Amino acid sequence: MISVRKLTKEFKIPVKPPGMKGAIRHLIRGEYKVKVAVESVDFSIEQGEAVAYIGPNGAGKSTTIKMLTGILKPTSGEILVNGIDPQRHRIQNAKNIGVVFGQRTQLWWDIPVEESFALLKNIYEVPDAVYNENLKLFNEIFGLSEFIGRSARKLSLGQRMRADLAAALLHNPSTVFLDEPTIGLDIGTKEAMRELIQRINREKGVTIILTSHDLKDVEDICRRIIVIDGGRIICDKEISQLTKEYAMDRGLQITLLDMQKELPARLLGQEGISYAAMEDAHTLEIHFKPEMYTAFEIVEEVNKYARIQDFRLREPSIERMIEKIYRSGEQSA
Amino acid sequence: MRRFIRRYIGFTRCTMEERIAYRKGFLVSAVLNMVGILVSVFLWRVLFAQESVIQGYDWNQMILYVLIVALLNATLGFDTERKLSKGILDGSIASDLTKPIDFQSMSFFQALGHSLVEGGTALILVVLLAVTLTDLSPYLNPVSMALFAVSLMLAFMLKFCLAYFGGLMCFFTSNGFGVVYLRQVITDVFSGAMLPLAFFPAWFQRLAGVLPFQASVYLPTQIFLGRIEGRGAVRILALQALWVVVMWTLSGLFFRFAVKKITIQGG
Ligand SMILES: Nc1ncnc2c1ncn2[C@@H]1O[C@H](COP(=O)(O)OP(=O)(O)O)[C@@H](O)[C@H]1O
Ligand SMILES: [Mg+2]
Repeated sequence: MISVRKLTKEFKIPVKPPGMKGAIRHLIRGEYKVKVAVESVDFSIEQGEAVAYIGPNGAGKSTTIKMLTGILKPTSGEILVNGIDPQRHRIQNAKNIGVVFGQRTQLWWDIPVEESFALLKNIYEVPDAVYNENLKLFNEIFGLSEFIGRSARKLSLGQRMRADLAAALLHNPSTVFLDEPTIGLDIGTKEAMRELIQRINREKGVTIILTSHDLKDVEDICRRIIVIDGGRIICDKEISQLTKEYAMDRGLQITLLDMQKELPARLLGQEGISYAAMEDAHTLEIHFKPEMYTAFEIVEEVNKYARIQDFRLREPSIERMIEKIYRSGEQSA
Repeated sequence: MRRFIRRYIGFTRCTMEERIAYRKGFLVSAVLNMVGILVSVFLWRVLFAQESVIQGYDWNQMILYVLIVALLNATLGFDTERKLSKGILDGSIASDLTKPIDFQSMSFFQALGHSLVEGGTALILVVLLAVTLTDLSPYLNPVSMALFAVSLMLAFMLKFCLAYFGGLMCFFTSNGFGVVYLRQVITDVFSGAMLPLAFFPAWFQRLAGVLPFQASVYLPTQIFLGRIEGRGAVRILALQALWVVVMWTLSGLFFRFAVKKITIQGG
């Protein structure tokens, strides 16, 4: 169980005007700019939940994860992970958590992966039975035995990430933090990573906190989404709830040969049309309530104002829901 | 205690394996050591051509001094600091900090692994040179050898503490190289690694005497060379142990303070 209250992290960024003069001035005056990376964030996560923590680049996801894992001290606010303040009792907290930072590795670079694993087994004092059982599971899903004897340096990115995820799970943590674990991976590896994460969540009741830009990860693994943007939480909902609110709308993407400038505004003015905007100079994106229009009626309506070259139905997807959440966040901000 | 060692000894083992796997670096450092020692030996040969005793050291003692310093330097060089400053500056320290381990103990066991490999090869080198270049017979009595062995171990621990403490400075600057370099220069001068402290003016020796550095190099050499014996030698061991405890504790406190300031770039 994780609870976060009024969590804020500010970074002091040195202001260094360009050139030698600037550098000296900075040395003397020591000017800093304050960057608020996470601002008054609140949420709580029950044991066994699988939560996606998503947002655009620079939103504050990694900063939040770093605070939850105890390696970064919050500027203010309160965090409890399984009843423990992770920064103050970092070592105690570390026993119960597993962490993957997709952009880093925790494996030793020049020695066989199995040696890194053996080291972790000692550190966490994992009993032999648990260790062997876990290795069996990782083998089954990841084919770990094929490359466990090689050094991390000699692994492909996909193999390395599998090994890294396995390393984070060796000690049966109750809570797992995954910061962009699938970044840069091929489809096959992504699938395998998702399968393992799903299984430990469903079968062992492990809490998952996942950040990713791949919404397929989110769809497959998570049941709840927290969206952060500009350091603030702009949405925190069950995915099923979101689907009800957002995905009821149908979407069409229409390619236009020519058009009138005020077309999107005119369409938006009509009841039953929830969204209309130009994606680029020739592509109109339009969302509508299926109980009020058929797709054909929408095309007809647009055809009154513009010549249509092509159109296609857009499936309701998490991706589009998130897009809308971002847009509504921008409007209210 | 056994449980503690069982949990941390893997860091020693992995570091050793890594060091051995990376053969090129390993050979380069062995060759560099050798060259460094030979340069010193030739320098002293020139100086001893004119005089038979310099500042109380004869040729034999001076070469042994040089060899012991080389052994200590090879055993624990830049590696602790380099690892630490790199981890702090590029954020790779993050994965160590998410483990249920005491960071300082982890660093120590890593340094130990490094030192067993580097120190092991340096020891072979140094013993070979000592046998060919010097007359060891006056120094080979079991009591002083035992005292020296203990002193070497304490010196190793103290050297680790000093390097670790220095490396932690990187929490407060983005110029890791500068910090490491500065620490190295200070240590070389005050520890007696550059020259025996007897070569320096009295005020400098007094200053060096109240600093921890001399206990990491100079004092063990004095035990080996029999310049300090009996009760004096035991006092030196006690002083070394005291410095180890003081620096270990200070480093721990410093880390606890510094880790709150860490920003962990990237990710
Ligand atoms: N160590 C740091 N020092 C200064 N600014 C930082 C640091 N880490 C992150 N930031 C800033 O805080 C904001 C949030 O960063 P981050 O949490 O890494 O975003 P995300 O993971 O969502 O992409 C960004 O604007 C980033 O530039
Ligand atoms: Mg990030």
